[in-house]
Amino acid sequence: MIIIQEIHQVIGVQELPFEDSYRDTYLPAVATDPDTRLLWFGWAPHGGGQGYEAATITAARDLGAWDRLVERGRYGDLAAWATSIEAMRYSMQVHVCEVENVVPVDFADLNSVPGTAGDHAPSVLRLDSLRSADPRGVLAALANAAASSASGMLAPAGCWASILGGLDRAPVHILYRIGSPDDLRDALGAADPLHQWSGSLTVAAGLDDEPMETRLLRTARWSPLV
Amino acid sequence: MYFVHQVHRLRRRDASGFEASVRDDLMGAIATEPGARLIWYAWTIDAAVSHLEAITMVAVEDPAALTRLSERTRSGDLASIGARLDDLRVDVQTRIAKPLRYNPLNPSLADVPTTAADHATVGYMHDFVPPCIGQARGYEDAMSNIYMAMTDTELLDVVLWAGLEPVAGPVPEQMNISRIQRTDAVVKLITDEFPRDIKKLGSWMFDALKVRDHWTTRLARCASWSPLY
Repeated sequence: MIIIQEIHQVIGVQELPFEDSYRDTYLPAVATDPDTRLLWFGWAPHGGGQGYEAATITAARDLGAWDRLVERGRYGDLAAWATSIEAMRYSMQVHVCEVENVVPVDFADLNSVPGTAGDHAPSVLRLDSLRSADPRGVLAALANAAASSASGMLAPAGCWASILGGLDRAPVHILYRIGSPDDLRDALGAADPLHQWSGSLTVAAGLDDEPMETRLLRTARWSPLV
Repeated sequence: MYFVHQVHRLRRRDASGFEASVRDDLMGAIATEPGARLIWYAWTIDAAVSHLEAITMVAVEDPAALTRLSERTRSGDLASIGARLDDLRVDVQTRIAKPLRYNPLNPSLADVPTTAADHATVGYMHDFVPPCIGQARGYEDAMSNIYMAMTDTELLDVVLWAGLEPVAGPVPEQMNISRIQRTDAVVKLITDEFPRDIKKLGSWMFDALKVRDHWTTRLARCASWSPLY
């Protein structure tokens, strides 16, 4: 399974049109191909990251399905939409990744992922990105940690890494769900500034020595997965 | 007054050694000369955009004191401490900042503690804000006239502690450091979707987009010995 992880730096006044355009056009259009689905749409919340940064995470069954989606956006039925969305952001960073067998995912059956907008309470996710010259070693350590570590406030929802493996220095990504506002309150209010959030596979795997990038994300009310 | 602001990127194994060097060596050494004091030491917390980072701030009274600090760090008694700190970090980003008109942080350097004393730790939102092109003064005006006129309640009890403008640093930007008075406030900011009404003409959220529409927030918490907090 391929993950297309896109981080968008959105023009501030375009925040709402950007989200609406993803909900009304991209979400259903992607679902017309049985091999592609938008999984998550989230914003970096005010107070917890980059201002007006959106993250979209789309799944494709394989690289053939990914290529079909790319071409729809370049010259096909999504080309006009792609041009309009391009005008709503300053920049976009795209990672094309393979889902790794580190933790189970709940989108293995793409047909079970909604292709139309629902309405549910937003949830909070955390996306950690680890850079390593040895992504295979990192993934093996994360898989061992996932198999043996206790659960915590961070519940792993998926792990993906660059399709180019060791030829690339792109990060390994781990997406977590955050259990509850109470967990979040306890973690943010911890008196020890170096307190580490429970459930982190990175910590359990002993990979927390190197500096790391993290994104807190709040999902949109219509995000297919929460 | 100047504020020498540094973000130090660290490996976790070096975190306690780095903190000890700043607390036990640098803080006291800086204070042996008048006109400069280490005033703030904080950590970005787990889940901050970039982790692990220490953030330090040294207040410097005037250009003469900055000249002395420069000479001491380049070839004087602070050079060896600087080299030791550099050995312990992956990277550092340094800014020399001056107060913006709305800046509340105006320490009397003679009163800043120069030895470590334990106190409660405090959470912060630490923002780098690059104003829209041509809006550096416009952003300052908006912050002075609109943002600072808002009540603590309107600001969800996240209250500005320092408003500074780097005059030397990586990009033109301004810097706001706000104290989190209630953890619930930041939990609400993260978990709750803003109603769309709050983003209409006439609201701070909307009108401020004319002067800035990007920032980087680091969630941070000061050390228990940070001189100011």
